[in-house]
Parts: sequence; C-alpha cells; structure tokens
Amino acid sequence: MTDVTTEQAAPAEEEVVTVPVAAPGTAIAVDEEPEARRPAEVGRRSWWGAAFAAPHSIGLALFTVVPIVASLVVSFMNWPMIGDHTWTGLENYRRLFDDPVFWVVVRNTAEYVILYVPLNLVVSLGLAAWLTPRIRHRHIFRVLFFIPTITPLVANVVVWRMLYQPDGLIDATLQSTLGEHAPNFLADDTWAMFAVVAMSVWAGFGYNMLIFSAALDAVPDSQIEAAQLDGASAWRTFWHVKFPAISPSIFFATMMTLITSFQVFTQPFLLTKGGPGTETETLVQYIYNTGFQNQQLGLASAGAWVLFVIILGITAVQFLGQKRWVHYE
Amino acid sequence: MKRRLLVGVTAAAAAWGMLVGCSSSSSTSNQSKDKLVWSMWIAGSSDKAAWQQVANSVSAEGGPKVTIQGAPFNDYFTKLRTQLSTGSAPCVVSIQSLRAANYTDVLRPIDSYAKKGGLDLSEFDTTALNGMRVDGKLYALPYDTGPMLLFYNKDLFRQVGAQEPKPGWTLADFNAAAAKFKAAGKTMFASSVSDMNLESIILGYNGGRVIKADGTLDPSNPAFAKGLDWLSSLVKNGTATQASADTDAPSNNFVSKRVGMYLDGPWSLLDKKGKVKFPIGVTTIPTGHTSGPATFSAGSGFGISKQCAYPDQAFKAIKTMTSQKVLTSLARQGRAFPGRTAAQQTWYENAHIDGVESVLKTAQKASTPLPGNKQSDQLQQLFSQYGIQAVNGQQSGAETMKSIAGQLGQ
Repeated sequence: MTDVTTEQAAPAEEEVVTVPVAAPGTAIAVDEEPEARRPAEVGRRSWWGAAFAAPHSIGLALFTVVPIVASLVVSFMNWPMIGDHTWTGLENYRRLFDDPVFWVVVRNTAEYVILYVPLNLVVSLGLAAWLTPRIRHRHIFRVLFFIPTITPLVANVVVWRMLYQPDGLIDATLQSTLGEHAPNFLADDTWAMFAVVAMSVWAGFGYNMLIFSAALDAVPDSQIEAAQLDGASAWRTFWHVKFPAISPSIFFATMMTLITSFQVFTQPFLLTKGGPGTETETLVQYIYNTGFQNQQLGLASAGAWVLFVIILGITAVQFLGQKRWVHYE
Repeated sequence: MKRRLLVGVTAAAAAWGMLVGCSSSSSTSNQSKDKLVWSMWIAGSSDKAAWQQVANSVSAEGGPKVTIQGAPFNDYFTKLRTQLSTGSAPCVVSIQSLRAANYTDVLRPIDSYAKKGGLDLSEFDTTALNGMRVDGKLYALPYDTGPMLLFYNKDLFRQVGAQEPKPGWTLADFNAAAAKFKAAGKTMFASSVSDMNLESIILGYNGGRVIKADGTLDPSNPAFAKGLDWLSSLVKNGTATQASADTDAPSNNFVSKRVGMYLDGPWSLLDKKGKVKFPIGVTTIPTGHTSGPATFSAGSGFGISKQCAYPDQAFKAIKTMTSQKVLTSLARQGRAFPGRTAAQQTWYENAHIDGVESVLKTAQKASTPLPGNKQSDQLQQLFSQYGIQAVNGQQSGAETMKSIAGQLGQ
C-alpha cells in the first residue's frame, strides 16, 4: 500500500467524512478511518487484540516455550527425578556421546528412517496414483486405506503381534503350506526392525495417501490432456506433468514423515520394548528410559536436544534441496 | 472505554483460569484431612469396583474419604515416580514389596504410626511384612503376598500321560513330564522374561540370583547365567515356547491351551481360574541343584508418601484398608492371597482348587522375599529387552548378563 496518508487530507474537525486525495496511479488507504489514528482508540484496539490473542499466547508460553527453554537448561544439569539439582555444564552431553548404547540407538533410528520414509512415500504415492477418478468406488478405497491411520496404534500393535508371533498367522500359514516355521519376527535380531517398519508403514501411509490423492485431483485436466495430445504415455504423463504439479505436496509429506519417523517410539516400544537387546531401541525410547526408568532427567533432556538438532539439520537440508525439484506455480 | 478494557482483562483472566484449571484438574493438591487420594494400579472394571469398596470402607469406619487415582499396572510406577517428584503426591501409595527399596526416598517409614495406632503387626504374614521392610524400617502394610508358583492345565497333563506335579517336585520330575509332552507333540512350559519370573525359576533351578539377599546387584552371577542357558535349552528342545517381549504372552498361551504350564503368583490364581476352560492346577517351582530357597515371594501393600501433609489420617486409612475385615472380604471375592494370616483361610476355602493349601504352604516355606534395589525398575526393563536373546538362544546367558551389567553400570 502506498503512502497516501489520511493525515494530508484529514480536516481538523473529527466528524467530517473525508475523501483522501491520491496521486494518480496510487492506491488509497480506504480501510483506515481517520479516527483510527487517535491514540486512545489505538490503545483500545490493541487491548482487544491482546485479549483475543491472550489464550493462545499464554498456552504457547506455558506449554511450549517454557518447557523448551526449561529442557535446555535441565540438559546442562544433573537433575535426578528426586533429589538435588546441580549445574554440570556439558557433562550430560559428554556422557551421552561416551555411551555406546546411545550410538546404537542413533544407528537404529537412522535405519528406521531410511527404511520407513521411502517405503511410506512409495506406497502412499503409488496408491494415490492408482486411485484415479476412473476407479469405481474409489472413495471407499480411500476410507479403507485411511482406517489404519485413525485406528489407535495400541490396537494395531495387538493385531500385528498376532501376525508376527510364533504360531501366529504368518507362522501358521507357512507351516501349513511349506511345512517351515517362520522366524520369530519380534524376537529375532535380523527381523525385528523390518517387522517394526512393516507395521509402521501399514499404520502410517494413509495420511500421505490422502494428501497425494487430493493433490493429484487438483492437477488441471487441461495439462494432462495437452500431454496426452502430444502423445505422452501414462508413465510419462505421471512423471513429467503430475509429479511436478504435486511436488509441493510431496515435499510437505516428505518433511513431515521424516520428522515423525525420527521421533518414532510407540511402535517399537509396544511391539518389542526395544529388543531383542537394543536392536529396535530408538532415540526417543532411549530418552524415555533415561528419564523415566533411570530417572536422570538432565541426561534425558540432553538426548532430546540432540534429537532436536538432528531433526533441525535434516529439515534445513531438505529446505535447501527443495529448489531442485519442488515447483511452486 | 474503561468498561471495554475491563471486559478484555476479564476475558484474558478467564482464559488463564481455564488453562490453569486444565493443568491441575487431575492433581492431588486438593487433599485435606478428610479427603485423601490413593494411587493404585487398576486392571479393569471389576478391579475398580473391588478397590472402590476398599476405599469406601475407610470412610465407613469413620476415616477420611479416599479417592482412587488409577493407572494400568505397566504405567503405574512411571506415573507414580513422576508424581512424587513434581509435588503432586497422593497420600496413600500402593507399592510392591520388590520395589519398596526403590521408593524409600519418597515413602514415610510407618513403624511409629503402627505403634501409636496400636496395630498388632504380628497378625500379618511374616514374609509379607518382611517384604515391605527396607533396612529394618517398615514402609507399607501388606494387603497380599505369595510365592511364585506354576499354574498348570490338568487336562493337558492327563492327555499327554504326564504325572501331575506334586508340591515340592524336582527338576527330574519336571524333565520327565517334559518328555511326555514332547512325545505328544505339545509344549509344556511358557517362557517368560519378566524379572520376577526369570529370577524365581532360576533360583529354584540352581540358586543363581542377580539381586543378593542384602539387596545389592550381582549381574555377573555365574549361576544365574547358567540358569539362563538352561531356560534356553528348554526352548531349543521344544519343552518351552520362545520368549516374547509381550508380558501377557505366557498367560495368553496358557489360557488358549498352547502350553501346559506357566509361572504366576497366587494373586492371579483365582482370576485365572475363572478365565480358563479347563481344570487348573497349581504347584511349586521345581527344585534342581539347590538346597536353599526355591522361589521368591512378593506382595503388595499400601504406604504413605513423604509429601503427604496428613500422615495420621493416611495411616488410619491404610490400617482400615488392610484390616482383617477388608482383607477377608477381598479373599471372599476371590482376589489376591491376603497379607494377614487369619484372612488366608477364607481364601483357601474360596479357591476350590485341589491341594492349593498344601502347595501354598510348601511354597511359602521354600520361599524368600525378592529384595528390591534402586535399579530394579531398570533391571526389569533390561530383562524384557535382553532376556529374550538369552532364552531364545541367540546369546549365551553370560553374554546377555554382560550386556545387562554394562547398562546397569551407566
């Protein structure tokens, strides 16, 4: 908005309605009433603004800002759950980096992310691409695919345990068809992580699928028709027309999936408790165990900050890399 | 303008009030002389109803009104510890004997209150009472107790032609029954890696223990490692199921007749009896290469948190909650094996299980309380992670215990 102020035009008398004079080609600040400038009214308005913003601001401060700052402070202290708190500087971080188990859980978390994120995106994008308007009753499929996402994870875990356990569905099927026992998925070093990832993908792909499906529906038909008239195959149309068009959605989904997969806790904790050994123990479970089992809140806070920095770093890299493949119209 | 300002400020204040209200609605800060909060693990609606009766009995006897604050057992201790550290402690705290040592910093010793309140402690089961003592001080009044036992499926034993185990049976008897099960293509025993179960069966096998009698940890105990190897050999030869991180798996396998027997305590005997569709038997843990105690016992009770501002009222409450009248009534309802000797007879009569009295008495004689340790919660977590590898034979017992010791040393 250009700088045609009402002051130039405002007469001395308050109640007179004025028409601001504007230079040709400039916009007029019609929404600003002359009396809005009076200090008393400004004060009154800002009070109202503050009052409306207060519930959210107080909530944000109380439940987000204060805990974040507090956890940073706690991470520099020896803070047992019960007992005296002492300032220890970087000692918690040193202990963390010296603990071999910490590096194991970092590796496990990375393994989970590397397996889970691409699988989730491929499955959700694949199904979204399949669910074109040509598919009959596609809304029913959408709902079906979305059900695992809205079902409580605890319930999902109970069902998946029945599939995985010895004499469970997978084992029993293998025995009756091939006469072979399936591995004890959740208790086997080699299989446990794959089992956790498979269950997580099943439970988590629905959300991304819905985003992709909506984005694909929004691709203008004219673009697709133009590609088809030019003789592009379905495959080429997807990769060269649809994919670039939905790339902002894919970017958003990738970011969110990456962030949540670094924070994975429920699935391994309920399926395997982090075992066998530490095979499926993730960073968040390590933080949980350190805080609530070993009752060392300082060390747990330090772990949480390391996780935060990892996520922040990877998100930053994603943002830098998006220029190469994300197309905003 | 002033009016508007007033309205704005009021709105902000109301919002603040709502936020603060939300955050403290479940806290225990509103306890008073006549109104106390009791934290308890609750497993379901019948559990809740039974404990509600116990709570009601306190006010019926002229004590304070007791409100239950329930949590599922698996989350109970995590929640309790957090509450106790944030200053929102309930006055009456339920505690397990094996964890008493872990909570001495937040519980009040109650010996002096017992003396002042004229409570005759000799009326309690000695093992139960001793389980609640740490360094000679009493931290809770026990409501239940009992040694770890084996529950078995009488039908399955008959079906495979194995002799029903008698109280005091030995490892040789156990192996003979296992051979019968194997010949019939059945699995006899449900493996478990929860702390109490692992520690009890190994104690019976060769006396190996990771927590010494004085409560100190001994994770490198060679006999315990050998005990793990023995359990792994049972899995290998098909006598036992593979271990799982799911703590309910052994009991589920038993109820669904996939296994012939599993480890449990008398606190769940009558509940289990109601759930299974076959005659349930109960026996002692088999004794192997040991002349000492053959099983651990544990129990639960009610204590008073250190932060509680009304310890006298809280003691009055726990005295009623563990009174002869209340415990007998619980026994009649088929709940846990009572911590008072005089109420135990009602439990036996109500059990309707052949030989249960002689089994429990034999097991009690052969048992020792499982001592607690500051790290016993962590040990339990580590067993559920690493125990699987040992029992399923992916690692030797010694290697597993080395990993556990490494983490305990952190």
